[in-house]
Amino acid sequence: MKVKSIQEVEIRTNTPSVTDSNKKGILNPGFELEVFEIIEGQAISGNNIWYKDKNGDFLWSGGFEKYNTDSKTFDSKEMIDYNAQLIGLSDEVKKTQGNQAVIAILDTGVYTQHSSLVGKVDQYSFISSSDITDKDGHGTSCASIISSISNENFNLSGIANQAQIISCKIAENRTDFESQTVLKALEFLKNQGNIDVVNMSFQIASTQTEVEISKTISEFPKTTVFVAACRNNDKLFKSYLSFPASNNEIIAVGQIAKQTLIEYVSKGEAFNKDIDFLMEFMSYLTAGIEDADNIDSQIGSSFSSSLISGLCALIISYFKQNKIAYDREKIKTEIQKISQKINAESFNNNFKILMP
Amino acid sequence: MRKVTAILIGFLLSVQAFSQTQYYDALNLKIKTINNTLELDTIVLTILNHYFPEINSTSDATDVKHSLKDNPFINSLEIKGTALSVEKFNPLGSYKNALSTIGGIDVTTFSKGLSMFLIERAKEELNVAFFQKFKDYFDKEENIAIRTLFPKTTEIIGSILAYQYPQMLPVLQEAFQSDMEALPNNILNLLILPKYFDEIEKFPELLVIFKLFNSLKQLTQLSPPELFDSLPKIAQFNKSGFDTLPRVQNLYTVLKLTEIVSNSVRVEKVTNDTTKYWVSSKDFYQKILKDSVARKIYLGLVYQQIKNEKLQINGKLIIDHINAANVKQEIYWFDNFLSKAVVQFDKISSISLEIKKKLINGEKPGIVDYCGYVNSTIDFTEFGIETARHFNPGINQNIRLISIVKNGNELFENTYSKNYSLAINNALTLLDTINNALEGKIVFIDPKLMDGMYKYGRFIGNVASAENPEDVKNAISAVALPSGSSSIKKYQRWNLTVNAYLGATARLGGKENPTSRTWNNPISMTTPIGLNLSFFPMEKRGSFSLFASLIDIGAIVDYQLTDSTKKSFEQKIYLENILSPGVYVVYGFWGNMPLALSVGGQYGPGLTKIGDNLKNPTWRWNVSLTVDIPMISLSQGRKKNKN
Repeated sequence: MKVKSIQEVEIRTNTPSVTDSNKKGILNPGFELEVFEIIEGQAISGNNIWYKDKNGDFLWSGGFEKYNTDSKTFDSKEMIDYNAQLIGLSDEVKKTQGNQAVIAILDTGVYTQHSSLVGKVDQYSFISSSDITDKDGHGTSCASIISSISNENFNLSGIANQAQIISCKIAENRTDFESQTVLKALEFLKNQGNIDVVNMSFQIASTQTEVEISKTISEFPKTTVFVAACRNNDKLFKSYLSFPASNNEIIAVGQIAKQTLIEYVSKGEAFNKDIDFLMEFMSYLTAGIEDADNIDSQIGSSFSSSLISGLCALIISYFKQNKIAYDREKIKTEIQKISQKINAESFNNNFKILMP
Repeated sequence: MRKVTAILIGFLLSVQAFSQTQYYDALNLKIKTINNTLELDTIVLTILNHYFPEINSTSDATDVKHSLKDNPFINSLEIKGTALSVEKFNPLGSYKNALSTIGGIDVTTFSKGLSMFLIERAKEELNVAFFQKFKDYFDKEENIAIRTLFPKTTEIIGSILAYQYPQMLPVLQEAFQSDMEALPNNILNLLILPKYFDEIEKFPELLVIFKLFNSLKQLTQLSPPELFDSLPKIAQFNKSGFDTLPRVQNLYTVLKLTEIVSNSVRVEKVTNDTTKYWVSSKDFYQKILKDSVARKIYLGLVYQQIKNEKLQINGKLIIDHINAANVKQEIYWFDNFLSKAVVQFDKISSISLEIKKKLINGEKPGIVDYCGYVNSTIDFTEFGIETARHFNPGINQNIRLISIVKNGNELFENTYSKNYSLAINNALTLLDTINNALEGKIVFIDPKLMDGMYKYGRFIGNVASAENPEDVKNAISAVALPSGSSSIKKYQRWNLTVNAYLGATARLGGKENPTSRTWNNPISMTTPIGLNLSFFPMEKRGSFSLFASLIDIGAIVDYQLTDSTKKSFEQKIYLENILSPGVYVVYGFWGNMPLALSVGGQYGPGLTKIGDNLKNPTWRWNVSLTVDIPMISLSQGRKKNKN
């Protein structure tokens, strides 16, 4: 989320409060700030909401253009429509809304009571003794980017909101992904036989199970597209990618900040050769958990890969509607057609798809 | 970038807090390993960093897996995965607090220490120096033997006479003690001097023996495992071409393997359990050898240590052997080997603790006790040899020297017992013995210098044996002549120093300040510290300098000098409280007197007396009588009387 300062705002370190020792500097009026986290701190004029920026510093929200914190309801005047915002895709493809595609999301589950997701998600769990709903919010955010339908209380629309969503809960929270669970979920989906897109916004690390997972992926129909998130920013320049993004059958999607790109390119570093697409390091507004109209803000390639999964669903739906033969390679090629080579000037629109 | 650096530094500094030994690290990692899946957290990353330096606080599952992939024992471990979002998974989070403590300079400790240092310096400035003749003996070009046998003394003597004369009493005694404690090693250094080296290098075992003596001397300071830690250095000479000789390299590998095995099963340092040094053979068997995951992790960590050390036998890396071998067979071999090793550790612990018990009870352990300990310790190096043989069956190491070392000798005994005068005799006799062993091919000490060697050697030994500073001062004061580093200003054309002037200052004209401001007493203690440029040397008639003060710690010095309780003061002092810029013209007194009379102006400082409120700094013109204490010489011109 970006906000703009409307007055001089003091930058505070360590704590979201005003003390003699934590003043770091001043942000002048008119400056845009990318908010990495919204937190509660010392109340000033009755407002206790502070913004945390990318440096981990705190700025009092009262100094910025108003951000509604009275209600958890998302009442943005401008509708967030991931389908409309995507750059380069033809309207014909966009308007399919993914209506003939089935997308499986392997994640922390989905909060299906959210007003934008009600009735849209089939849920399965692959972890024992766990509530099937999403307790973390990561999986819900992925699902929201793909398939939220806006309503009067929640003005956000997913990129392919007519697609059918299958939620495979494979982790209780975002730090808890295990390879055996991933394998179980993939085996299940393989046997379902109708999965068009599999979204995997995580990394796992197991030499042995990775082989089995790769084998399972290879047993899916070639029309099933797998999308996986790469690690963010500087780790995109490592010689090795995270798994499953490193699998050749999978579309690997990373997120990178402009500053990181400039720093590494100036050092002569190259992107890992197996990365397929990149998007700007930014926060996504999504459906939240615990309340039907909650909103959340998420950063990381997890959510860019969800966007690409939704994009795949749009293209697949278009192909299906027009009876055009395709496989996962063709889908990737279609995305490449609307993508542009990344450079420092690429960062002028958050929803532009970039290539290394 | 600085933030990242600080985070990394913080991370690295914290490494020691977690990493213990392979035994404990394996058990800690085992706790975090459920169903063969290792969960990463700060502690796990910190432990792994000890073995895989590329792993740090920003490493994630993929990074860790990548690091482990070449380790045959633990590359099958799964690392718990994560979602690829940023906001709610921040492994660096726990380091933010460490970062927040950086900044805000509290100089209380620094200024207290500085003031005490200056007081001591001032006393010494008035009470030192007689070693010129002693130095002359060391300076004799042909007397390389004394410089080699007493290197610390040589170094200190040379530098003190030039720049830091007043510090010499405590520093020199320390140097003497240091040289005496290191006498066996210093004999080694004499042996490997280039002029003798061609002959000596035909007997590398001889060199190792002497270095081993040096380690054995540390019995009372080192626990048995610490002794093993010091062993590998014995076979390291830092001499090009020598360390790479296969005979020397193999010795190093054997001793290093001994150290690695010892360290891998040491008890946690944090437990402060002084009743044991290593984990018991029973614990090791039950917690490591019987648990397949813990055993795998333990061996993986030991393997990584061996890999990181790049240990070789006969020029071949040990890990190449392991990589080529069957991992299961290696595990069985290690099982057997480690079972025997920990039993031997039990034995060494038992003997060592017996000695310790005697010391605690006020009894003096005899040489027999130590011989038993030395023998059991040396016996353990057989495990290093066995490991080396396992990795390279062809090795037929010339390890016979180890049996020679077991016998010990009088040099070690007297050095250990602090009978330094006797140790000097032993050392000189030993050199003679080696000379005979080498069939007279080397003469270590010129016979003409032998008298001086005995004379000064014993002097060093006596001072080193002195039990308190007063003994040393009394001994030296009998032959001391006054001198001072301040005198350098009287002889150099110019001289730039970081300088302190400790003494009293008085207002020069004008009215007294109100009590709310500084400088409100007509006479007060002053200790300005700053840059001093002396530019007008008048030899015995004194010198003139320009002095620019930066800080003034007079209040703290006053407190240290006048407070009879010598209790530490509670007041926090910040840099701004002692900042005190000023300028003075200084006259350094005639002769060898380290006194100075200065006239000038100074601002502040805010801290005027410990315990009082801080006051508003003001400017005042002063005249001061002080002891001149040059602290660091930054630059200087030539001597005045030379062209």
